[in-house]
Amino acid sequence: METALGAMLIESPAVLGRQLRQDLSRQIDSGRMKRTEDRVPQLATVERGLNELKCQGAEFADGGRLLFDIQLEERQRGWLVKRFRFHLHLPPSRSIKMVRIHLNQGTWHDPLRIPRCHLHVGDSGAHIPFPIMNPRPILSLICEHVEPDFGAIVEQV
Amino acid sequence: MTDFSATIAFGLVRRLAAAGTDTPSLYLLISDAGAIRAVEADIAAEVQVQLGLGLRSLVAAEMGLDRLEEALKRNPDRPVTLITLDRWLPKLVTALDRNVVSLTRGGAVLLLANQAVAERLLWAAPNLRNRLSDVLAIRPDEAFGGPMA
Repeated sequence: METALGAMLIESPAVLGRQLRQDLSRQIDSGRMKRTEDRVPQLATVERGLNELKCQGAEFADGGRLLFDIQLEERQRGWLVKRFRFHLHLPPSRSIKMVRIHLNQGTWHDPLRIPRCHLHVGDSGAHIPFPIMNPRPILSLICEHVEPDFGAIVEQV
Repeated sequence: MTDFSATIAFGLVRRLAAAGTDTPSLYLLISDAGAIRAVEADIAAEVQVQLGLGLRSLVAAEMGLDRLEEALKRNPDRPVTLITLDRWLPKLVTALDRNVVSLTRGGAVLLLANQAVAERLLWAAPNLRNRLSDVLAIRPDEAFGGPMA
């Protein structure tokens, strides 16, 4: 886990924030998301050497809503993703109301019971293991696959 | 002075990306004098993130008239050029006005100035004025501002 995180050092939180904003804009261009100011991830300093990128709520065209926050810690060779939370509220028509992808801050839990990076479906307390990935592909995965598909009721012919 | 459309570097570079970086275009960007350095940094960061290119940045006060043509020579690796007019330089503005075709031959040119310099430029450089794709009021990007940006 630590190796996977160490292999994806980020140049700077501001660069990641600009990249995420660009990625969200592409989702707007494709018609998946609505144009709202709230989608802009805001950068804040939590404490010295610890920054947070926070998106208060990006709205999907079909009524879904995504909130996320990413904490990054300064290291000698760049910025390490320390924690993230992506919370996707699906539209009311779906059988699943919410999907959450979390990277916990530390590894103090039993990794077999609570993997450091995991997925929650609905209000289930189950922690489904999820691969540690850069926040950009996670955002893309949520926008292009999870949001359109999860809980969608397919009509049987 | 007319109120121009307000933007940040993100919106400006989105425009450049949509038009294509090889498309000749000339923008006059008006900023508060105290925000010019932050706006320069924002534009450089957005050009890198959105276009994957380095920004060619020239400071007007450091551009020698005798080497103007060299300064304006197209660089295919850096098709977006930012010229910061940090103070009123009438000879340079006249030279840019006369060389407007070379200036805009390939790629996008962004002229960044405070309001006083921008007003004088619009009055004194008719060729530049006629070639402007747009005049925009640009402000620093609050989302990523500060020393970390």
